[in-house]
Amino acid sequence: MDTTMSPSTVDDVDEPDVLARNIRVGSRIWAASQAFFFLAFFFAFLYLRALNTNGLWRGWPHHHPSPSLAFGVAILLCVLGSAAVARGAVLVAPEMWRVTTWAALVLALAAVGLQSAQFSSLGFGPTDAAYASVFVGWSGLFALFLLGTSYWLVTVIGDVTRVGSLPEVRAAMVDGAGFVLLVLAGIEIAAFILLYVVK
Amino acid sequence: MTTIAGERMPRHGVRIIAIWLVLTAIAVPLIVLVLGPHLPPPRMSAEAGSQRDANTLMTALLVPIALLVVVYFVYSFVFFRQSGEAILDGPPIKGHAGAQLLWIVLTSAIVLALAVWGSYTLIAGAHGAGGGQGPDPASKPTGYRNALPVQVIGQQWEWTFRYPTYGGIETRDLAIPDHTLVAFHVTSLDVTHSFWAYELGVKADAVPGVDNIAYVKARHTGLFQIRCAELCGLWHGHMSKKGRVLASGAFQSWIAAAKTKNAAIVKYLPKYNRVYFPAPLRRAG
Amino acid sequence: MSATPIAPHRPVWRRLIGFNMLTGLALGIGGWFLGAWIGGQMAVGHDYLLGTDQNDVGLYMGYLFGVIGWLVGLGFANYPIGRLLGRPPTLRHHETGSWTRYFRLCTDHKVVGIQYLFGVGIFFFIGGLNAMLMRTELLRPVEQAWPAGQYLTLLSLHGTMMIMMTSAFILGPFGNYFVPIMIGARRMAFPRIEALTFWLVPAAGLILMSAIAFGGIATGWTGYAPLADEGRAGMDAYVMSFILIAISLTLVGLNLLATILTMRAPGMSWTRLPIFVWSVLATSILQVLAAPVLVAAMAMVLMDRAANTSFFLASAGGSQYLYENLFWFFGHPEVYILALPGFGIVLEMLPVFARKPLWGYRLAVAGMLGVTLLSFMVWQHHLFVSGMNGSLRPFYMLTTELISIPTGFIFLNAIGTLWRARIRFTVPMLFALAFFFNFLIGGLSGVFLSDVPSDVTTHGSYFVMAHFHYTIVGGLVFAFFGAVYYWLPKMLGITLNETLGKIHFWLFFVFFNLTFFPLFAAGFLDMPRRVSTYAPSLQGLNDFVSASAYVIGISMLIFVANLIWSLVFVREPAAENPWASRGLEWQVPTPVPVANFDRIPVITSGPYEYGVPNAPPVADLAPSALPAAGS
Repeated sequence: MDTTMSPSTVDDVDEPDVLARNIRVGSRIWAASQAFFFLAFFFAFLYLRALNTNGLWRGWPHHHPSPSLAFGVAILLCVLGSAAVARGAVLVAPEMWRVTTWAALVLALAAVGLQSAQFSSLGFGPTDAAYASVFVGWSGLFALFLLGTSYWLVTVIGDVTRVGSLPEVRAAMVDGAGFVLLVLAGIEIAAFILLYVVK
Repeated sequence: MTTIAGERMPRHGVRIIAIWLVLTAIAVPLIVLVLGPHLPPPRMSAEAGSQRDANTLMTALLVPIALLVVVYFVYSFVFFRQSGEAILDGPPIKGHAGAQLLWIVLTSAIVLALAVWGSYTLIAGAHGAGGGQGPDPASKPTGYRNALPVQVIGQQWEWTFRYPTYGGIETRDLAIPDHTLVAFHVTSLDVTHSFWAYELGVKADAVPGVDNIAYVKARHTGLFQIRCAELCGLWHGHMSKKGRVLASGAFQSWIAAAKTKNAAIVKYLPKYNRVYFPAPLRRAG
Repeated sequence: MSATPIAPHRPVWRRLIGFNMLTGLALGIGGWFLGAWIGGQMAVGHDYLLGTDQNDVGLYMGYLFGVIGWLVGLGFANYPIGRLLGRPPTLRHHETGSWTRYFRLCTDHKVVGIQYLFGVGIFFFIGGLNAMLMRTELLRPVEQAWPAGQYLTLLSLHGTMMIMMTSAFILGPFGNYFVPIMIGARRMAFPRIEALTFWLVPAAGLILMSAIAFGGIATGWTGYAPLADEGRAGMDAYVMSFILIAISLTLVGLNLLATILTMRAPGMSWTRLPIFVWSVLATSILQVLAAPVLVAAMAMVLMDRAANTSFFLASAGGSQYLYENLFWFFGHPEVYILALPGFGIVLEMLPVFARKPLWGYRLAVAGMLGVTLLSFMVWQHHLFVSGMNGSLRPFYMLTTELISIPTGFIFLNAIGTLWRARIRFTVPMLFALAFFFNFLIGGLSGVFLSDVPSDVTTHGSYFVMAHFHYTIVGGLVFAFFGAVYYWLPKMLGITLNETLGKIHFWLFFVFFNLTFFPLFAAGFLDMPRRVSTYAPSLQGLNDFVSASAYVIGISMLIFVANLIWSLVFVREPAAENPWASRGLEWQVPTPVPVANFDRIPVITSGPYEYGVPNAPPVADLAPSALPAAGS
């Protein structure tokens, strides 16, 4: 920590409600940014599928990429579970937050792990035309976002575990992380429907 | 504020409007009669004509708007300036509902009129106005089924042209007959180019995998300038050549000569198609 | 006021060691080599990477690890690691101390603002130098000064650098510095994110310039895809730097939006919010929503180049239209990310120098929010001749022309504010008034481009280039210099020389118009954008433009001379409120204390109540009861 900090700069402790509101508002803005990021892939899927340039949307004639549905369902369930637990935390007593956040973290990391496992046994590669490109890009970047959110969950665990942290801030951290995961879950539902069902 | 109360208020608004009216009365005829005939593009086709009309009309409409703002600003600099070092407050006017409403109504009316007029010329008047309309043109001129198809192929860094109704021959020169509806089918073999025939008023992006159609009917014979209007790499600026509008008979003899000249190589060309898909483009070493 | 910052008395060499810019640079370079080596290992067995002389994976990994090293060296990892080890959360870091805080991670929004001012300013001058070199090539219609590839790289670097840097031109320095003060807050909502947004900017700028070493960029700032897919390794630098800048823009928007929404002082109602803060709010909304789409588009280019996907390759099922749609879905809001802060600044300055309330405040707010909303619905007007969605062209023509209605409100605000005013022609006011002249021409020339028949002629020509230089340089850059002359006395505590300022203004204004107005004619005379050779008949016109452009360059040198002269040699201290402005930012002492306000002020009146009888001061800076913060 910085030893040269003068007392007058540490004014954040006297405004916990502002701190909490910042986290709540900031997490919602971040969720909107995330949604717009994946909107690009949503659009790419529908657009390239509709254009079907050179008849190669689904891949070369002899080879249609087909990711394993079992992995898809498992990833979907993990993400939905993680979001449900993280978001559901606002309904339970603060004493439970440590458990719920740990559960959300484990499920989110499980989804990332499953995604990596799926990639290593995909049966096709990013080179296999348009659908394969969208699949690899969307799933891969989603896992990356999930990984980033996992780090956030780690800090939430740190906050809800620590005795000295402010109750308003704790509540805001739980609320914010839950909201961001909820939006990610919505994106994952769209991804599942498009990438595994619609193709 | 107190300093203004004692003075006799000049009628600023009337003066500004008067100056503006005089300037507009001078400017608009000059634009329509003097500048208009020099605005691009030259009227080599009906489509180019509609573009020049659009440019002339908009200049004649927008210059008075610009004049109003400029006259007001210059007037205010002269009459509403504070000389000396003193810092005195002006009258605390925070707004005027009527003026705001008038402004909104007027600007909305101008904007909507422009949009309606633009849409009309695009759809009904000039049929795409020489712009690329994609593989399924929304606005087709009468007799478009009998239009002479000319395929324009862009590649780094050359334009070539194929005439599907003349055996699919490919030439490096572009010639089209006058008074004949021509459908340019613009496509690309590699990156995005844009086919720009300046005097004809044609511009259509050459996009790989897309058959981008633009209609044009030349009014008279002559040369026109072809350029690339979309950055396509190193020699983008060199993708320019002259195209020719020929009289009908001259066109027929030109195409017959081109056909003879092409006979030896046409069998090596890929079969005529609306789009071409060469091997996937990857980076050169 | 707050305790005077106690500078640690350490020798200079000792201060150079630690988490600062030098360490960041060292770790960044080390990280680059590490990443490039890892990328080299990853490429083994992939013919499409090793079959050429450029390994994109290696470059991307190099840039990624380089950026990580840069950020770690600056100290961005210390806090997260500290948190993991159980240290308590804090908001602020390294806010006091000596001049060295300008060269390391500092969470004081005022320090970040000044870092932005100089950081972005340096890249602005590099971009300007590129423009001078381009105009040198265009002195003659044939290739003469630079080979064609170098010319393309120059123009791509100029465009990309300018778009990237001018996006952060207002919100970076002035948004970060003044928004918290103007709304009566002591800090930004997320000070550490704020520092991060700045330190990503030099990383992005240096990466972009590294393109010169890797074969250059051949695509211009738009980076259209199939060309970007085939481009040499310099494209990787373009992609990476645009990703970094877009992340920075997103986070700047997030931070400012959260700050404005949650940290306004008591009494700072929405109708008392300074108009500049409103423009920052509108811009932040655009950045938060539009910049992520750019990151996604760039990620697709990255994957096309490094992972061999085919998002944009028609032969393999992709489409170039996808890139154009995604890019312009970001790109058009981006245009207003550039324009809106300019609106805010000139409307902020007009009442001060006209000594009248801002005329039609609500209309100005409505105009900015209207532009924000509409700007997401116009992007396909860049694609009128592309052949996509021909039947949707009337719709995009309508929305594009509709956006001129809210833009016009800003002009009405100026007209009303100047009515019977008492105008003082100070240097900032000159820039603000020139903004209106330039933006008038820029805006009206945009109407030509919005009309499809006219756009068929002007699309892709110098007309477009003149149009957006009138809006961006004539609008934003003029507003930026206005803001520099207006706010620098508060930011740096010095007065800039007024005579030199006026010389700078007049040279810039006159020769800006002499440079760009003839280019409308060049466009009308079928000169396409981004060419190094052109029709010989246009040589006279181009020589005139080049000569004028050089004078703009000279005017910029006069500005730099003025800045250095006033900042280093004369150091004439500025008055606390030299313009007699009512703005809250002028009521705090110079230099602004670290915590801005002793107490959170209570806002008692609007900022533009000039001439209003018995108007109370804008805020009570020492409220007797300690008020609840925020609300």
